[in-house]
Amino acid sequence: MSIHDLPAALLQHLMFTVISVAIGFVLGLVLGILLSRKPSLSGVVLPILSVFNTIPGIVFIGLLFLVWGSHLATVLVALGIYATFPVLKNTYAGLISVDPQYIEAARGCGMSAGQSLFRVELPLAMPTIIGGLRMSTVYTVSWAVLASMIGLGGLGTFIYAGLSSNDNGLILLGAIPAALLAFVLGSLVDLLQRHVVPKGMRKAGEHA
Amino acid sequence: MLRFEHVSLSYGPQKILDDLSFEIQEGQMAVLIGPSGCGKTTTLKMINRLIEPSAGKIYINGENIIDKDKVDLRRHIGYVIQQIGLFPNMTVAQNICVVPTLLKYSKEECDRIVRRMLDMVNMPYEQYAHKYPSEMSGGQQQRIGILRALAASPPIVLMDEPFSALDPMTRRSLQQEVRSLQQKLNKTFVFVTHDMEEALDLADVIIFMNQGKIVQMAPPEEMLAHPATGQIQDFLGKFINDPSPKDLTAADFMRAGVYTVSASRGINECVSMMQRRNVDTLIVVDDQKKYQGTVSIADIRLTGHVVKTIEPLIRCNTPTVHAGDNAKDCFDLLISSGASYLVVLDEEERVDGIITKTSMASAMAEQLWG
Ligand SMILES: Nc1ncnc2c1ncn2[C@@H]1O[C@H](COP(=O)(O)OP(=O)(O)OP(=O)(O)O)[C@@H](O)[C@H]1O
Ligand SMILES: [Mg+2]
Repeated sequence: MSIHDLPAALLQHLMFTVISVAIGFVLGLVLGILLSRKPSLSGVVLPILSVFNTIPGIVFIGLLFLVWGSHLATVLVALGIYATFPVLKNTYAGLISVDPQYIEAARGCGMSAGQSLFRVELPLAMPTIIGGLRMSTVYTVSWAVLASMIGLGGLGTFIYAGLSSNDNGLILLGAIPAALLAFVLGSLVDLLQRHVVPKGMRKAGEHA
Repeated sequence: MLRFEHVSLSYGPQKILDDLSFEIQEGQMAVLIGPSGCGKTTTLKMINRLIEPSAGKIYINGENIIDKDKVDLRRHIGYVIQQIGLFPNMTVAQNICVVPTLLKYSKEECDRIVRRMLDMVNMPYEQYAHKYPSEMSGGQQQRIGILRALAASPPIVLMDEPFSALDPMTRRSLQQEVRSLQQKLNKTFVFVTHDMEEALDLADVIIFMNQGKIVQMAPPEEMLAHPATGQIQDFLGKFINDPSPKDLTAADFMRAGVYTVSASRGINECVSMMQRRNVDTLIVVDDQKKYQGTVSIADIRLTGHVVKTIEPLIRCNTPTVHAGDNAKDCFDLLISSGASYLVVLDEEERVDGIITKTSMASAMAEQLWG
């Protein structure tokens, strides 16, 4: 375990994060949309999800490892599910908080339910949804540390090795790149945010 | 053109609309008015099926709208919602062309529409087409909201209190714009308001609602002349008490409660009456209180010693008018005749009052300064 292993571990960590977040984003978006179409269900679904969300990641990955063994899929599924929550919650919250006047206007203009969703509701909820994506990304970078626990590598390898050998340098060798990764990916999402927020909704001074 | 037949709506036990039946003719501007919560918005939303009736039928051009596809129906009915509801993520041009886009008009066609629409409300295309709603004033947004409803040239346009959030000046000018658009385009408009002035200004026909029922449906003049209930009268309020000058009549200018005497009265009695009231003429009526003429103190002095009653001294040289006569004509008559007053008669030729220069002047002052 040395600094020469760092680039590979970083790359692997990045891969875990990106794939899981992609899975989580799609899943969260779809489930959030479905839930927002039936807000009466949210009274049941959201509490269940948030209880689930409080199960520590380490317990969940551990359980999944016991069932599936040490596979890439185990990590991706576990992280993907965790990445889903923030996106789902924000998608739901963003969609149901779209001012009803716009939905009524959309219906009154003769938009179908789908047209109203894609042309009006989703664009208006997009800032909130991307906020969820950002949270999801930053969390996943730290959760991905757990991958090494079941022997699948990533930056967590350094951290665990450092912990077991009482080598602070090794811990930092994993922790600092992980923190930087979270920062960089978070900034990338912020950049995306600027592009997806509808122009008319950007605050003054953000136009350029 | 647009017909409601026994339309009712209940939410549970609560009756929101109760057996509405009415018909609006093509090209008319119909204004729905009534107190808050009386069901105006609900009635409006039934026309484009945002709300479905629990009983009754609605016809557009003889077709029951329940048989039509909702989405398609709405694309052919313009709709201006109360809160304006311009989509914040779309430019002015995109907002105007929402319905044409849904109807798959070509890009060039849409662009032509945007130019024509903006031109109609004197907002230069170059300046406004690519602005976002958040970059415009409330009045400008409201204009665009109306243009969005008109863009695909729907035969029917629904407007729910489109001017409620505006200052009086902007509101005036938009009302005029809507009125002239409606006349120019000859569309059928259904317009909701709770501002009676707006209703009187815009409407070809006013539908007054209360508690889910139609109380009166009539053209503005008729509603002003014959309000069906005290509530409508209250809504009309100052508009009833403030008729335009050309509608003023002799009755508005006269002094009521004038003294009259019977032709059989004795000379002495009349002289003392004149002295007591400090007048120099008396108005004479017969037994049925019909107007006979006047006697003057001058005539009594001249010949009073040879007659017992005033009857032979009655003169008919004082001009008379009727209570319903035009006030301006009365004014002209009073001035040109040189008489000191006019006698105002009712339909049965009984004396209603007199118009003097003083009564005329104070009535005019009343009109002018309230
Ligand atoms: N979803 C609903 N459930 C139950 N009652 C409703 C519902 N929507 C409206 N109402 C009731 O229906 C009645 C008519 O409402 P509507 O919005 O048509 O009134 P309105 O005449 O437009 O009033 P305003 O001038 O305040 O806009 C009101 O008494 C309202 O409380
Ligand atoms: Mg209303």
